[in-house]
Amino acid sequence: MKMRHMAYRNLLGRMFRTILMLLAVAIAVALFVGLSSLTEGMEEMIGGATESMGEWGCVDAMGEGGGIFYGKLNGDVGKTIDRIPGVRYVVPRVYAMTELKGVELKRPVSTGQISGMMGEAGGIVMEQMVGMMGGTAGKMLEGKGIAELMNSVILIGIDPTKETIIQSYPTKMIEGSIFDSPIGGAVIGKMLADESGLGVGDEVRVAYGGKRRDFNITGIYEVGNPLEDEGIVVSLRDARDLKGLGRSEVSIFRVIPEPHVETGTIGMWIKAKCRGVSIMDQGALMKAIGEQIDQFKVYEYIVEAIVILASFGFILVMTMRSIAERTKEIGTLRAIGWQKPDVLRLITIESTAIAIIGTILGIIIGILLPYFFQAMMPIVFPNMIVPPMTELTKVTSATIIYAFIIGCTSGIVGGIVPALQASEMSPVDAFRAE
Amino acid sequence: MIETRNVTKIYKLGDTDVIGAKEINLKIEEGEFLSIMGPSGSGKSTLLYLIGGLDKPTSGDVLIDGVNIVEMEERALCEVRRDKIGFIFQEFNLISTLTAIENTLVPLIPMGVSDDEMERGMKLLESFDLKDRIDHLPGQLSGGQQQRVAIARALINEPEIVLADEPTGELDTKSGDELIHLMEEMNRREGVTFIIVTHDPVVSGKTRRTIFLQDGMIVKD
Repeated sequence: MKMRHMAYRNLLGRMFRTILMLLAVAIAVALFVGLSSLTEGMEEMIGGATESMGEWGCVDAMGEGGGIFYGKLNGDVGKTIDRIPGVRYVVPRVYAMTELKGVELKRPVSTGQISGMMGEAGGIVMEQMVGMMGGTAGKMLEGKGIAELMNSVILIGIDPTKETIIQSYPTKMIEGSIFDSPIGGAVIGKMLADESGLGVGDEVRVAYGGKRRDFNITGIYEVGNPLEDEGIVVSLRDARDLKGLGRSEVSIFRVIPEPHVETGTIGMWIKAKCRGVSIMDQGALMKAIGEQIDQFKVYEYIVEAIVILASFGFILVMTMRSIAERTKEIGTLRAIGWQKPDVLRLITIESTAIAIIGTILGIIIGILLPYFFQAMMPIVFPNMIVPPMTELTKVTSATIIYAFIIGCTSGIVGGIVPALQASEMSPVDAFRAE
Repeated sequence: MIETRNVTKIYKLGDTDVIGAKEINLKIEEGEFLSIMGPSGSGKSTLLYLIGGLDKPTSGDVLIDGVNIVEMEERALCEVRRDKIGFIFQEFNLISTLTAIENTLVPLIPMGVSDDEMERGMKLLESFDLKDRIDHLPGQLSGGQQQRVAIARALINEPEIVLADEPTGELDTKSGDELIHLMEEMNRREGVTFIIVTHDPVVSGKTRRTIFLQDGMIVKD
């Protein structure tokens, strides 16, 4: 029989107290993992969106008033922008809110839930949610009901050659390849593929207004921006045809500046040179969102610190109570020849076991927390739109390591402090204390 | 051999000094079977704790085999308690989460328990009629059985001295008689010195020497 065996028996023999202490550690660690993974996920999302816009950020020029879905620009505008000093690339795109016929999308929020909550409040939630995911949220929402939006798929018409230069969709293929024909080919985002079950080689019918077009899926891409990854990309020609645009008309021109040229400067030039064009400075937008994330991180650190301190305090109080109840036991051990370090070792083994098991439990709970919320929220709040928690969070190895360090340290230190006190007690004092 | 020289112990209770032991001079030879009697608060347990090195006297010396344990450092004193002395308490003081055999082996746990020591623990429990109770927790044992486990724990290190503080205090008459008989037998068979604190004349009547204490002083030996 060894010391750890005795510690193990003590923990099992005082099951209620053991469970309480395990829960204290586990809850603190779970909240740490949950909050950290939410921040990490949002950061990655912003990072993905920024990356999908190009290395230096970009400016989207679009028709005034209509936004990316309902505005349009003539090809001449693109030529004008191309001549502005500091502009590196001008990439035309066509955007449309379309519907996939005969395809059921398995999205985190069901149509039923959304239908139940159409209205202003829902719009605001949705707008905020989409705003976090990408820079075009405000414009995207224009003229669309929530339910319609959630069942819609963004169609993006592109020029594969130009998109290759700015390292967009054609360079982000994870399966198959970009369509090589300007007619009838399409690639879809990974999220759309997951939600629809569509894959390379499948045919898909896209509807816009009264028009319908069939596309052959040649590949699946992933750019890291959920809005784009939930879209379908076709050629400019097909998109124009579906949307009824003229030969040189587009929804936007994505403008990539020369290195070290501010997107804001380019935006001002465009406004000055082109009439009826509105600007969306994606770089500034991403920066603003990034600052919001940083602010959120400050709150996260404060909450984490409070949770960890509370957990540490709880463990300390519980261990001290446990030690107080075990005063006679500790006095007896000292009386029959246990040295102070022996008592300390016993209690440290117990605390360490609780800390390690509690931490592992906490990490598992923390990882499962988003899934739990996603499953529970529609039941508890049937009229509320549930954000895709599992996709908003990302558990990194750094989070796990920090969680392990924090959980174990607070558990062990919380146990050692009273253990030190207990081991210092003389046997007679221990008996008297009883 | 145990010897106390002018041992005095004064406790502080608020602003009041309470005399636990007053200039006690005592010699206890190896293999004695001795009881300490006296009314409550007479200093019986105090004397026992001073002899056992659980407490330090305010003045005076306590010698075990000629070595003054009062001057010993904590670590060395622990070793004396572990190797030379066994303790039996009125309330048994068993660890509630450990079985009878585990409780018996508790003094050895910090060093790790060998197979031989495990066997010795088993044999002790067997000889105390606890063979069927080896894997029982204290809560599953009667008072008499618990105190027998406590005696086994006191004897596991084959000590020279066993100090028992009111060992029959929590037991019925029959169990108390059996326990004293057991201790007598261990004293006779193994030559272990037993010092038993009691205020039960029946118990003291079974010991070969009785010391009477009053107000911290020996009034009769």
